[in-house]
Amino acid sequence: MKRTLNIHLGRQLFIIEEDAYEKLQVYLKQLERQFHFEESMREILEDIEMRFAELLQLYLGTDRKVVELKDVEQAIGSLGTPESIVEESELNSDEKYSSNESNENPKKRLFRDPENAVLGGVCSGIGAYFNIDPVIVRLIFILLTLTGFSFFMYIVLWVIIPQAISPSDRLQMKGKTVTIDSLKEEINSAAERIKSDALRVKDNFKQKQSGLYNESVRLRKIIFRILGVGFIVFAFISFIFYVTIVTGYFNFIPTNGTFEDTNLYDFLALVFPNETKLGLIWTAILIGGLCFCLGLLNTGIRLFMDRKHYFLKIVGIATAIGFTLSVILGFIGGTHLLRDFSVQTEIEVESLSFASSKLEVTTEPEYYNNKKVYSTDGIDFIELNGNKIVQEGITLTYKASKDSIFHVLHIQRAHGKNKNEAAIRCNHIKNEFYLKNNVLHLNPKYSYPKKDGIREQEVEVIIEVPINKELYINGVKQPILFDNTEEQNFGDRSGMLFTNKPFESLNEY
Amino acid sequence: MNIENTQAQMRKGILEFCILGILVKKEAYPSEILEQLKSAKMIVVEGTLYPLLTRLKNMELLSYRWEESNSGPPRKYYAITESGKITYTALQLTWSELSEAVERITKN
Repeated sequence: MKRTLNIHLGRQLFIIEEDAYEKLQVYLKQLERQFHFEESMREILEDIEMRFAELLQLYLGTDRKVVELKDVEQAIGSLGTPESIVEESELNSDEKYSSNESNENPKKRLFRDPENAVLGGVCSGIGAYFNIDPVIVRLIFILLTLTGFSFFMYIVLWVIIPQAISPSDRLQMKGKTVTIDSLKEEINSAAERIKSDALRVKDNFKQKQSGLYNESVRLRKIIFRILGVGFIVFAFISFIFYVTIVTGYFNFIPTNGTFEDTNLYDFLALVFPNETKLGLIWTAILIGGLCFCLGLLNTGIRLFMDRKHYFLKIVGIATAIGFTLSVILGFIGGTHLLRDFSVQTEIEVESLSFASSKLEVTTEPEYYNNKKVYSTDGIDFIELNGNKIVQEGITLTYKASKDSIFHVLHIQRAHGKNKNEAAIRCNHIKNEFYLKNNVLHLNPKYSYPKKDGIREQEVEVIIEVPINKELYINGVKQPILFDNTEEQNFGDRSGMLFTNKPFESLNEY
Repeated sequence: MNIENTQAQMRKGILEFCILGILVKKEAYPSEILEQLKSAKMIVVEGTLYPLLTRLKNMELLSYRWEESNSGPPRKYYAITESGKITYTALQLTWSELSEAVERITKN
């Protein structure tokens, strides 16, 4: 008893014994190998298979149903062994050049490959020499360009490396021995390429037939290629930024003079104290940044390629969708944030009045009224202290008192999505402020809890000064000159304001 | 082994001429072409025919169409083309020149 299989050979179905099947398989594989370089290999094999099936059908006749080994052998005898078929049907080769002979290492030469060339074929040639995909070589080249290995090197290589013109050149470029067979193979594949290129040209030619069009097409291709490279480079740079910002390696948000800058995530955690909203915004940034970089890369590659690749189109659509999604998420987060800023409330925390003849104001560090002063260059600094946010810079305003008494108002402001929320935030602000022995101590720093989030919390101190009293700021006596306007700038380095009010207090000194 | 080699060498090139010669008379299936070649003792190995047929078709000296058959799958039905006929005429000339030359050489 023998095992059988069902096969489909030459458009007919056969039941065939196992050993016969194996013999048949080996035969067909050998044929495939022998005809490997023939142009219409598929067609020839199909014809032979059909003839094989015809023969088998003949041998089986009407009384037998299963193909046996002897049938396969008989058919092979009739059709011929693979070697003899090929030998008899060959046209121009004399002796079959045995490929076993040429085992000496073929010398591989560096050529430029004009058939796989994008610009000059340098990268394809290098790829062929090292057996790397030319696309990889091109990517490496672009990366090298970023580090300073200039584009000029490409031009130099273009000039130095010779172009692979003849089939024997091409064989040497790929490192294959130049034999009659390999030459035949090479010529055949070159012929195929030429044929398909010619067909393409014919189609293009049928559409437009002006020479100018061809020139502009070529120019457009070159421009697209250069743009493509630019996009790809830009994509890589953006990606580097994206990774460093997102992972927190790059701290670029200034926090305060003594501490380092913060990274984006920590800063956003302050702006969005609510965890879900923070997650929303962070997801938006992650996806958006990634899609942006990918989209740039994809656009660059698409500009670079001649043919439209399905895969690239899909990638393009995916990145566009991802980016849109991230924009939507960002929009949602952003509108929530804006809502939180919609209302500003201020609370007068304290109000002092006292009737003494002079008032001293001390602030540490020294700073100027009606302007916020910071310990460094004038940027708003944020400091994190445990679970409190500390900001620096309170506004100090001087006004003329409506009566003859000093009034000091300590005001705190914050934003929120409604009055209650804003008021709560105002209350949470802590700022050192006290009056002792006619000395008003002010601290330009104020703090509020982290969970409130940065909602433009501000502190203002309004000092109303009666005209006939004395005012010292940080130990320096200020001449009191009031304009018709309510506000007055004291200690302003640019000079004093002159008014038409009598300089009464000055007369005392 | 060697003599078969030489015989194969001698048959080369002539086979295509013979195929054209068969088809110039009338259209035929590959199996019919095979029969004629076999009966004329021209062909030894069947499989040789198929690559040659395909090659001739690629050179547009032959064309084929598919013929349905009641008993079995459709088969290719080959016919000679105009350029095939022209080539055949040229080859006939070559053959007569060749065979005359060989006669002359081998006779003496």
